[in-house]
Amino acid sequence: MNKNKNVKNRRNFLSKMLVVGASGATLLSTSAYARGKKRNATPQLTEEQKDTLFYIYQEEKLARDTYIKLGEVYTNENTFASIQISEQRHIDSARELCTKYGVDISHVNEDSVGEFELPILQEHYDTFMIEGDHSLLDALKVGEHIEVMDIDDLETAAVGMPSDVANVFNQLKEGSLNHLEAFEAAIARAQ
Amino acid sequence: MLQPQDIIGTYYDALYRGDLNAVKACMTEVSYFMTLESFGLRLSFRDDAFKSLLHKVQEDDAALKEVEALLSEDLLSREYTPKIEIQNIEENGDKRLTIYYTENEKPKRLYFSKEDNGWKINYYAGRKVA
Repeated sequence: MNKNKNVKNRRNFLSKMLVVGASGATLLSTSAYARGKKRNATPQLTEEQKDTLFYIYQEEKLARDTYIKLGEVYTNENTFASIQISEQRHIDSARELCTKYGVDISHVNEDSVGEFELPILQEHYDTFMIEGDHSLLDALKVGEHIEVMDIDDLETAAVGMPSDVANVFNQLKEGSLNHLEAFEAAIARAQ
Repeated sequence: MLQPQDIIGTYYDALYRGDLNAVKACMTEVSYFMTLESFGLRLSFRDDAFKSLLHKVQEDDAALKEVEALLSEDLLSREYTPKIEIQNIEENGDKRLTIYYTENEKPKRLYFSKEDNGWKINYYAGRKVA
């Protein structure tokens, strides 16, 4: 019950974030118009925002790879298999944003499952594998943890972003909320 | 001023010695909190009280100190002394660079940015700017 309430609260927070984001975008576009700039030009990201986008893109791979590997361990639990497909779409969405805003991602290898060159992402992945290997219930709790972490990170990353980026991040968060619900349901079944 | 290639060795040595003050000195503040989150994850799964403290480290100094103390013990207990070999240093504009290296023969990389107080590990500095 509490967890369901938690998901609802997070959804409410997202709605508020969108309203704030849209207001900010309106202010920005009004300001740009006043300065005589093109109204439909692609907004620019600050250097910090580009860095954030790049990190989010790298981080999305962490969830997909974890679910691929845990799905191979717990072949009778289809939650991992179904969500890993969705996580690939998250990677695709983040990649498209990177391309749109000129963020060079050519040096990232999406195909090497479970291999991360950034030590903190590798540490995350290794911990997920260790914990998830104990039992199906532990593996599902890893999934729950990942989704909560992704939601928090996307909420933080969306602050101050142009509306198109914020909208994509919001869609990713909505997806993560659905994943969270799926993991919570699977945990309830496994207990 | 320590050069990035020297910082890599300092970082690994300090991390697995549990010397988090030295780890903190190697990186930007945001990256340090990300390091606590990442390397504290194992304890988080085992200990709900630690997990709760870890959530508060950015706002609560007492929580930060407790997390650092517990994580320091955990890191030391891993008894991990990886062999680090620098492979390549790639400049990325004037204020960023990437170091490619191996950790026990596995390829790794760390991003650096030039801050007011010297080169720092910065997990957000991986985007190519030049």
